[in-house]
Amino acid sequence: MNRTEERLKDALDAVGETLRPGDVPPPRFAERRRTRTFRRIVPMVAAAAVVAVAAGGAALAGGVLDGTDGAAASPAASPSPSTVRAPTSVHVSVYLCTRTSSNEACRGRDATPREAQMIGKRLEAMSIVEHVDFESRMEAYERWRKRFASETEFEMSVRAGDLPEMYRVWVRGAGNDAAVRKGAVAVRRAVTGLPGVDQVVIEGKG
Amino acid sequence: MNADTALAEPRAGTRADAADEDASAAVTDLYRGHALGLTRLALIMVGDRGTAEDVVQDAFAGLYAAWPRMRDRDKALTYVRSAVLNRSRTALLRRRRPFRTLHQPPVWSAESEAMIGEDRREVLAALHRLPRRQREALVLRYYGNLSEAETAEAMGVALGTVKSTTSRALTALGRLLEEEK
Repeated sequence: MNRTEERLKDALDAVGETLRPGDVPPPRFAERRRTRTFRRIVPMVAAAAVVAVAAGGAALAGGVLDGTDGAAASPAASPSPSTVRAPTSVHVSVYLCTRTSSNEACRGRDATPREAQMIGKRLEAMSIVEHVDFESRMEAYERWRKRFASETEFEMSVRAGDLPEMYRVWVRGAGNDAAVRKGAVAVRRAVTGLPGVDQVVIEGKG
Repeated sequence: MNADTALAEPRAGTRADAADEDASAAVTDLYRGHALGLTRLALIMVGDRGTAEDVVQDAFAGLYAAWPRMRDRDKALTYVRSAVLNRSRTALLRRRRPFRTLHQPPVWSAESEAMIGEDRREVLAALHRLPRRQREALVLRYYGNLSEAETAEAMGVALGTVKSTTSRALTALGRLLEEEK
């Protein structure tokens, strides 16, 4: 092999190597019939962990809030600096589809920008909804990275695109736990099953 | 009329199911063995992972659909290879149209998170300046490690064409890389 051939082979191998065996998604050709043998485990763990982090933060601060002071907010779990709402109060997390989602309804595709927009509109149109925050992949990734900053290997196994986009939804009726809870359930019912919606989780204590 | 109803007998349903099972199992095996290699091939051709994955999924979906009609099933791998090449081509062409550019920068570009190094970046950039056939021949031969005959089949050209295209491509690539200096 001459120098050009060597360089070519080396460069092609390097690009190929950026894709690792675990990156190969499950086959989609016979989707409805069967075969779900392959699955990207890591991103699923990642998504689950983000949920856990949010829920964990909520539970933690919920304990604090069980006292009398309602002003406490955990900065670590704060979804975005622009929101003044304590992320610990009851709210609904609407996770959008990712390619790696195990939800059949996602059909192995990311939610499209249009789907995301329609979901947002639907949420904002609900009279019981007070406020809606959108978290992009990059923001989710940032939050993930901060949370797992010390565990480099785990963190490295996650890419920005592996984490789902999401809406955080606050419903009206602060102070009235039963009303908030009821509103949250209504929100969940309204968006579950919309195109592009993966999971809907009611978070925080109420 | 009568022949139609005879052919559409109740048994046909079960036969179709059995055929589905057969196709599903066979294509799944092929996917298991070759999806990674083919996705890497597509990645080199199109540059970004999302498009590469779509290309490969579509290629396998095509194989799955064509399975019952395939007479020579030993050629299944050749079929997907060609499909991956064709669909990569289409994906690249589609990008030239306006408002269709919702894709990541190539993994070898400076903006990409993947670190492959300046030297390799030059090689990939030069490779993508070559005419399409030359690029395909080089990638199949030097990345896929395909024989000249296999390369010819995948590209749908004659054996002689592969030989001449590959040698011209190497010369052109060498020249482009020299220019960089």
